[in-house]
Amino acid sequence: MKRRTLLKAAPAAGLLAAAPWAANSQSQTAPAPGTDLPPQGWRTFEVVHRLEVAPSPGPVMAWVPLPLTNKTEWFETLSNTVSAGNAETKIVTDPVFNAGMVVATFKAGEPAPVVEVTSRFRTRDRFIPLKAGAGTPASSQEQALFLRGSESAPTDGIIRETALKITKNAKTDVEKARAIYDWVIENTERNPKTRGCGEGNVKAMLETNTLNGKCADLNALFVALARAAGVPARDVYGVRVTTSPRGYKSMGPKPGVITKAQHCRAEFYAQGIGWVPVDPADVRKVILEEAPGLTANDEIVKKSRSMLWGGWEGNWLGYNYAHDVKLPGSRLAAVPFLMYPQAENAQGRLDSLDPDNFKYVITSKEITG
Amino acid sequence: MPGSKVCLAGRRALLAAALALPLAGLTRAAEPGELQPWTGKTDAPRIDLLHPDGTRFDWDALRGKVVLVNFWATWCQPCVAEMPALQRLREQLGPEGFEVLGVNIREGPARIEPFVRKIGIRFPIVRDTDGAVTKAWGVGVYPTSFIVDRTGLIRYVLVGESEWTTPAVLSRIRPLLGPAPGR
Repeated sequence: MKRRTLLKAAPAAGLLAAAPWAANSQSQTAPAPGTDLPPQGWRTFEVVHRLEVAPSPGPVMAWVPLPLTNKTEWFETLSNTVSAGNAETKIVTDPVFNAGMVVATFKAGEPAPVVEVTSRFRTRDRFIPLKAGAGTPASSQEQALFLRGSESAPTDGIIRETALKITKNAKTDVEKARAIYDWVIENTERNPKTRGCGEGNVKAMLETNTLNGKCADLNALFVALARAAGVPARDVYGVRVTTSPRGYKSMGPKPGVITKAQHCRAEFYAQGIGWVPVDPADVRKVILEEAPGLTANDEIVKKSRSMLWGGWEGNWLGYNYAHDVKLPGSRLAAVPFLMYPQAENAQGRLDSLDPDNFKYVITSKEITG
Repeated sequence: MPGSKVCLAGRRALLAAALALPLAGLTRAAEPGELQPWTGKTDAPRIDLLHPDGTRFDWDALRGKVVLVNFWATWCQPCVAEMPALQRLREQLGPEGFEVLGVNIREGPARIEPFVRKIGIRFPIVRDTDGAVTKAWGVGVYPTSFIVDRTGLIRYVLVGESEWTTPAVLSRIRPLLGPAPGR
């Protein structure tokens, strides 16, 4: 007998009133890439993570990342529902970054280890003008957390040396972050052959001068350099759930199957302003994928570069800000970040970048009306 | 010496800077494509992992052999390119007490096994499913290879791909293949 558990998301205290922005971003036809739009209002989505882990003689565990547990002005988790047959399931949050996840434990010999997590959330465009109080404030404790280095991105050594060179003429947090944003765009490349979203090993990237990868590499590079320059910054791991409202075909899948649409964004913290969204990795994605032969000087790239400095489109589900995540109940090493479902059996950790053999499917749909 | 090709995330890139290998707190500059002496007396970290078929690999059974430990992945083009050369090296030196051990980083049997069959690899392959062994050996790029002597000490490291049966490589390995120490 299937057991369904309806688990309410942690309520976002002090629900924000919908901003008096344009309300309806849905259009019947796809807009041209780089279409100018005012900030789009709240949209509600349902995302389902369905794992069908291969049966194994020994016990099997699985972990599914949940939408952001933190309250924000651009994202609100509405509900999470878990269905997992003959498994013990629980929702846990990691103690450092508050990353939410479903943990499923299947008994040894379970013939069909299946877990399905249905999450509903709402999100909207997020464009932060760089003026006092425009962003979300953070306590000194939170800021300190996001000044710390991680295993693959410490804040000393070559990362600090590089950060100081990049920001030598910058005085404010905004100037430093902008210098680093521009440097990442101008000195890196998106590598289509990178597996998944990359590994985020910033130290190795700089030491070997291998400045290419995908979002988990390039945005990790931004974050690491910002932290090393004294500006709190964080990766935000998530998955794209629908098309780009502004028509960028490189920045949004069609709704439906989004199994391989994971995407990591980034934020930095400017004193007096708050958290500011950025995405230099997506600027490189526009250069590589929006049209053949684009360079940083093409108009569509300049538009995306301007939009993604201080802005994100609301077509994406954010999971968490976590690094070096020790999966609860796991006997294996921490994962560098939690942006994919994870599973382990007696033979070790399954390959989360091989959904066809893992296996899992992620789907999304917009809830209207 | 031509620059070597390495993968951080699946693409060839020239190794331009020193690679820090924090094994036992020592840092050694590693030039691309060359076997570099490992001057610290560092015991090779144990590799207690499983083969793709789920059977356990016996690290202790390698004691007394000279072992080339190679960290690789199927998505890493330079790793794939040098596999036939590693197989040839093993065939050439195997009768003298030499073995190659391939440590795959984070891939499943469904990706590894067809690859091994296609290339004709006959040296042992193990799976580092959570990256802990790769981290213990201080590996940050792929492929990276270490030469471990008969007593279990790391003697050389090579970052990037190599044509493993060249005179330059053999001149480093053959002296290690002296008579096996008494047990």
